[in-house]
Amino acid sequence: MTTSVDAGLRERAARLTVSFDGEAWILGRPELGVFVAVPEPGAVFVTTLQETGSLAEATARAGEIAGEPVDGTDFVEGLTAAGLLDPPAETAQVRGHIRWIEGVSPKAAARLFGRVAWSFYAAAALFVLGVLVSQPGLRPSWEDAVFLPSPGLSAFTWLLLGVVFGAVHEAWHWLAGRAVGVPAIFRVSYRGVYVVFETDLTQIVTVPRNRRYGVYLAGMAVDTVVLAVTLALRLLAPPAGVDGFLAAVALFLIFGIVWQWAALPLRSDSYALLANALRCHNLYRTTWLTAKSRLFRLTEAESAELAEAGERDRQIARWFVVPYVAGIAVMAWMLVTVVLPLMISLGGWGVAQFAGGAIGSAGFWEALAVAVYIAAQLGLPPLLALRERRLRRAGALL
Amino acid sequence: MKIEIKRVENTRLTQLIHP
Repeated sequence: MTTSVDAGLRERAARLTVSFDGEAWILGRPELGVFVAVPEPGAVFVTTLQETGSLAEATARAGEIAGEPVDGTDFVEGLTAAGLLDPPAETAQVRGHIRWIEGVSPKAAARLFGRVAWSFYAAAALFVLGVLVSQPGLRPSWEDAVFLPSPGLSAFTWLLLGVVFGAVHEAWHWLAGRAVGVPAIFRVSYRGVYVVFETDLTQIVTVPRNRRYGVYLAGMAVDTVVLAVTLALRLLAPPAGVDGFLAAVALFLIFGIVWQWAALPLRSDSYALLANALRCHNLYRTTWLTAKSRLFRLTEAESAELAEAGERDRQIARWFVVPYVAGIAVMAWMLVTVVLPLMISLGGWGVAQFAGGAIGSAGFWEALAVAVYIAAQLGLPPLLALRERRLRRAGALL
Repeated sequence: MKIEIKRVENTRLTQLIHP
């Protein structure tokens, strides 16, 4: 047995983080956003390599844990193929970090996600359910969205509401990440035909699974508090103008929360929560491949990828397609009952403005602005898709 | 023995901004 020490290998192994998620060991390159799950011998192999730099020593110690000889060279090749031994990224990832949250100490952030805070969030959720069950008049409908004299003006306020509440929702995920010591990256992305704000908390896989739930639920928790306040204000019977605005806010928030539970196939917050509860590592991809293999044929590369997925992921993926389909049905129902009626009312109003208004009149400009707004909404997701495809090819996104 | 390596997906939490 050789005792050769490979300084280059030791240096490369030193960049890896090793953590235990409660079941598997997670090896990662946090700055690259690349993580893999390995059994205990794999973790011992890497920590030994970090200590000694000796491939032979690492292989021997991993073999002791495994109870049989392990193939160390194959393991190093596997780590290399996964991109874990790549050189450091040339440019530091500076985009997407937001100063003001990083100024919040983990201890201060933890106060928003302690036992008292979660009791408060739960109480808000119960209050919302109680009001919606007992007060049929306060249940949302698509007409609530048009609360200003014209659909065009209302449409701009929807965007404003979306940006404000979207930012609060994401900030709460971010703060929850801060509370468990996980940094985040913020970006604008898309899910299906929707433009979304996105907080990338990939490094959460370095904390034990049972400590991740607060991070996944944080966004919906703050949505629920805002919704509870909105409904409480409506119960006080405010003036009609104020009540109309509050009704639009309530519709918006309820739509967002229901969407989070329905959009499992689009990797919503609830998807992350369920994938964690089911102890999967790559459930989204495995479920799609499983569904595709049943409905169509897999390419050779896809078959190989599915075969390489974890045993548990493949087991869960067999039935996880059922909640996927249920979620798609709910999203279709939301499209038919809220989105399409609004689109039609907005479109009809725009056509009437163009037909009746002289070019250059206030109504004309308003209608033109709305047309541009709708075109931007429909055009942005494909543009973002192209951008993410580029990033993915560069290996920065999975 | 081969030490199995399983890919771990990214965690990207999102919110609609114009539902």
